Amino acid sequence: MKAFSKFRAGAITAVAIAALVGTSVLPANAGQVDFRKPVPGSGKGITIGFIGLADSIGFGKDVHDSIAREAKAAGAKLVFCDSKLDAATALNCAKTFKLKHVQGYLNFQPVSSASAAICKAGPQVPVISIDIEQDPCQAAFMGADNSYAGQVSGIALGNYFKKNFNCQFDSFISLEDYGVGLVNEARMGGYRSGFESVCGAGSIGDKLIKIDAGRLEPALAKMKDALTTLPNAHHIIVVAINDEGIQGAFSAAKAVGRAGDIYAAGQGASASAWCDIKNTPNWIADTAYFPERYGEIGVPYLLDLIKGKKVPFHLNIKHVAINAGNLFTIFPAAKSKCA
Amino acid sequence: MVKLKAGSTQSSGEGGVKRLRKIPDSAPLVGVLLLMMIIFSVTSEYFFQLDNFKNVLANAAVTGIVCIPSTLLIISGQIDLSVGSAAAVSGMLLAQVVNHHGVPLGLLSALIFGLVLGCFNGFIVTVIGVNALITTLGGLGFLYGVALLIGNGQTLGMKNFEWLGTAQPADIPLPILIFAGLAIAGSITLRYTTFGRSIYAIGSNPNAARVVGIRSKRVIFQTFILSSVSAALAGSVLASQLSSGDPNAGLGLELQVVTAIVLGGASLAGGRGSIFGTVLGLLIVGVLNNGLILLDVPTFWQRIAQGLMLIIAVSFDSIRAKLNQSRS
Repeated sequence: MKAFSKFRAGAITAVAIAALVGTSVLPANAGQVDFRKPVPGSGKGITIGFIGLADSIGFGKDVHDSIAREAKAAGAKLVFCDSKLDAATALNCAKTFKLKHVQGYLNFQPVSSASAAICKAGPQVPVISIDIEQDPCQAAFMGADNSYAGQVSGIALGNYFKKNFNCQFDSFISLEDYGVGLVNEARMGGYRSGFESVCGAGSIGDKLIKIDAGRLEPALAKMKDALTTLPNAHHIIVVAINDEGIQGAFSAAKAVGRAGDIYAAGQGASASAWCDIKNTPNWIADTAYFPERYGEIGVPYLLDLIKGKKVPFHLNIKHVAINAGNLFTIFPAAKSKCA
Repeated sequence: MVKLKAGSTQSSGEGGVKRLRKIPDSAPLVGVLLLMMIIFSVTSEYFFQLDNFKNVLANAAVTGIVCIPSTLLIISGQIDLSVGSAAAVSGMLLAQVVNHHGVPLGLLSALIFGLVLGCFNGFIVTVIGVNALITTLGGLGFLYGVALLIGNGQTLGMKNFEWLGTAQPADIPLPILIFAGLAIAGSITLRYTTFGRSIYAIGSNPNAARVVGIRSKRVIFQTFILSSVSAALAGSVLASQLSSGDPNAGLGLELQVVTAIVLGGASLAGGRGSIFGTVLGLLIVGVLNNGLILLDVPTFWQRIAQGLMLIIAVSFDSIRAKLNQSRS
């Protein structure tokens, strides 16, 4: 997922303090809000728009379905337009919203730097951006807090290694995606700061190996190469910018008979990864983003804005670390899928 | 009486064939376009509005700018698959240079990039002799990497250069005017100039064209330059519309271009096609996309409808061409 999130001074300070004192307590994170169902009928007679990321991507489709479901529950008319990961298409969506007289819209188009042009082309109504900044028209920003999301799983990994291996490990492989810039830095940096907050500042040091492999195929290919360079390592930490990276890493490790040598953490905890999280013993943690519940923030707060109510600018998701033990509790639907 | 009847029937049959021959090749496309416009006008209250037509044309304009020289290239039997990545590089280059050295230098650098790329493609194809498909497919990947490299994987915001993409002289978006100008120039070139006739000759029969003294390599080289420069211009227009350079902006542009051109009746084997047909192909795709969005058709169905429409339109055109051939 391409997502941009501001680094907040408070969170960074908290991370720094946590790293220094070696505590495993998660940093306080401002701007997180609870999911809330819109009041039935609260959107009656209101037309809202949604510029989607891409329905062809599981994450984008989950967000779309969630928003459609909550808009329907609120009684609002939803006008959906798929940006298909393309800013020019999103620009066209904004123009269409103007034609259709939407009274407020959620914007999940992927190119932050094109947001000014899109804001200008669209109707001058309240806008909530999703995961990607949409200046200058965004009245609120909802979605992932990438730095915090990285820390959540980093801390879980740190706790596991502290408990089982006294924080001893051979390598810390980071499967990154340089194409998403700031998100990559925030998320992958979050892993490291989270891990070091448990196992000590500087504990990763020169054991860090960064690989540009944010998707399944490159992770599969490059992890095999990486494992070849670490023939005698049996405690290799692998973190990835998304679940696909970890799925690729485990496939690579299995292919060379070394699935037991890697200990991994991913990002997303999307439905497509549930069964792997449940059934792969060394999949230690995964940060949940809850795309299937985005509508429970986006729709009620957008309706509030349209009605002139005050809404906090930051509407961040409360990320949670998932593992095989708590998967079915947090995602009950996983039970039937992975039984 | 019987003879007279038979004669009149034959005469009427010949007349029918003659009338069929007189129907322009583009008539089925015009029919499809009109039919779609009628359907969308009836089914969506938002379709038949001036602002919506402007949206359709403005959206089609960026692809259209690339389509015009690409039509010449396809008629000559060549293809340029690097146009999407070329547009992305030029947009990134434009944003980078505009931010540091101003608009004129930014535009100039984007266009010079197009020129250099066109020369490179033309050289590889005509001098080294590498197949155009392979050459430009390589360019597609290579240039995408360059686009990512320019911004280090990031998009580049660009300030104070919106006019190329958003200005509306006489209430008409500038990209539409640029596209219209290019379409007229392209049409005149193909119909009334030696260069245009050479393109048809090379595409129809390269050997015969060489025998009659047409400098095929030179014409193809020049057409590659036109193609790359137009891609650079389109990338600049797009970057201006979005106020930013985006390394992913041109992804898939090459397929949109080929779709519009083939839909417009051009043959990928060369020798057949027209600018008017390409414009119609472009409008059909644009109107279909716009109409489906206005009707809130789910994305997956939009893709299915777009694919089906292309197959049906091309099949229809092919059947009509075969009928014409068998009757003649």
